[in-house]
Amino acid sequence: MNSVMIGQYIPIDSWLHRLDPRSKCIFVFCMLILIFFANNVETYTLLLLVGLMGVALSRISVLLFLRSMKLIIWMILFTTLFHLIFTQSGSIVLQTPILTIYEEGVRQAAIISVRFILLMIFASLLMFTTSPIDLTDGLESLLSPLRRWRFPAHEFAMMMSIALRFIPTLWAETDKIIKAQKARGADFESGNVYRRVKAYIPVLIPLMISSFRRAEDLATAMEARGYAGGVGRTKLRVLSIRRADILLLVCFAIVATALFWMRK
Amino acid sequence: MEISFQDITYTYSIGTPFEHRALQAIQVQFNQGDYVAVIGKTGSGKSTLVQLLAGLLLPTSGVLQVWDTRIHSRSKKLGEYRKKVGVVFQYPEHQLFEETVAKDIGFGPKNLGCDVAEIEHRVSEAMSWVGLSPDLRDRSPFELSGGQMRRVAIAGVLAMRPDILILDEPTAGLDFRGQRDLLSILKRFHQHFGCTVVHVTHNMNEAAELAEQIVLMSDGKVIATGRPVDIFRNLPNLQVSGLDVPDVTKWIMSLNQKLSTPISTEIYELSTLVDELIHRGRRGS
Repeated sequence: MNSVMIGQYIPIDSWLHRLDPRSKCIFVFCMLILIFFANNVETYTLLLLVGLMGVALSRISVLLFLRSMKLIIWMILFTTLFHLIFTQSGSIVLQTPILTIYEEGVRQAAIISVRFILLMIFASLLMFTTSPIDLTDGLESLLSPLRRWRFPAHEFAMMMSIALRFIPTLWAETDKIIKAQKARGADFESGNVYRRVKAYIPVLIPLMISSFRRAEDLATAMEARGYAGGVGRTKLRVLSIRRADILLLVCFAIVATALFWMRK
Repeated sequence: MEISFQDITYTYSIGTPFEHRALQAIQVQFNQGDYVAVIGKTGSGKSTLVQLLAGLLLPTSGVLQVWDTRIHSRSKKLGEYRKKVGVVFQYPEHQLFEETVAKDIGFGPKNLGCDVAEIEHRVSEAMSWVGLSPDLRDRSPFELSGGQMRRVAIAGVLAMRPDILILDEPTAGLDFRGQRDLLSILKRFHQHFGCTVVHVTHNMNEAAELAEQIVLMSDGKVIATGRPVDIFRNLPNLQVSGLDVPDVTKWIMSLNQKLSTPISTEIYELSTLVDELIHRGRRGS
């Protein structure tokens, strides 16, 4: 595996890494909503600045953030193109025999692109700086009030942490099986779409079998160690809100107030 | 010197916080037709080394020369090269996928472009090599026992008749009987086809018994290479790499302390040792 996966936790130490996962989750969630309230150059600039500050505070290489943008580059290009072609209001910016581009189209395309980029920056900030365990602990804690309405918060969090835990394992397994079938002469790189999809059958079947085997082993191992759901379960690491977490939420309040004051 | 690693370095996840240098300035040569054992502890770079040889990874720097193929950091189209190399990965039974044993073994030959009759022939031949009874042909590989599944997986690679056969810890997880059987299959296959075998292991007994050349690895570097005798004579090298001499050698060495005329420590096969002891017994020494 030569690439870091999208949204993978980057285990270094920074101010953002040390924050309580709950405050980070709330912050990012609220930021994601706030993005949709921005409606002029000033507000978008404000949000971009906050995002860049976050990137700087995370002490994670900008390169990794750019790499995570690769995931959405096609979405950005597609929607940009869509807006440029189909939005037809405002004055004409460019006129060619085949295509006329209007001012509003350019505006919409820019807004959508910036929104995508902002969404990605904030989502990456959360994923890069929060370990999967912290993330699920945080979510469990945030969701626990819903237990009153019989929402299985603990089970939900456990499921999520198991899923996250096994992503790298499955990824390594896929890599190994692809290599093994390649060594047996399987060709994944040539032929039409149908042939290529078919070429992956020798990878998918063993992968599926091993996933079931792993799931079964894990269930046995958990039961053998007395796991019986969330009732009466205590935690070794208890999450605690510190001064830095309050600072983060105060920051959000300031940004939000500024944004609502600056927007049209 | 048909296979040579020339100053090869390999780094995983380059340019990320997970960057990890698995191989460093590897210089090593294998003779065609030799049985080579690559030994070293977990994480010493053995698996990376053989994946490079298999054309599954490209070196970060340096050149791997195999006959007339040169593999370097920007090599493309290694498909043809890979057809000459067979790889048995760790726990190869986890890669079975076909409905029947015969189809799974025939997957490799089919990809090589063999016709139906040839595939048929190779499947039967490979099954007899690994000691699978012909009436297992149409069974699902997933109904078999672990040991049998391992044999099916290995047969799938042998059926490709590779010029270079790579085995990564092929005996891991087998019981003693299964290990002995597999080693004797490998030995006979090697002698019969004269292919180059590269056998990765951390079991010194396997390496000593089968190998003509041993490559000793530690921390992504080749510490020493040579005949088993040369490798196992150099205790400091072994200890630095966290390894030990084979059990046979240990036993001979402890026996030698009580003997006036020591037994040669160049004996690695149990049967040879037994012969030697009987011979000595007859002479009355």
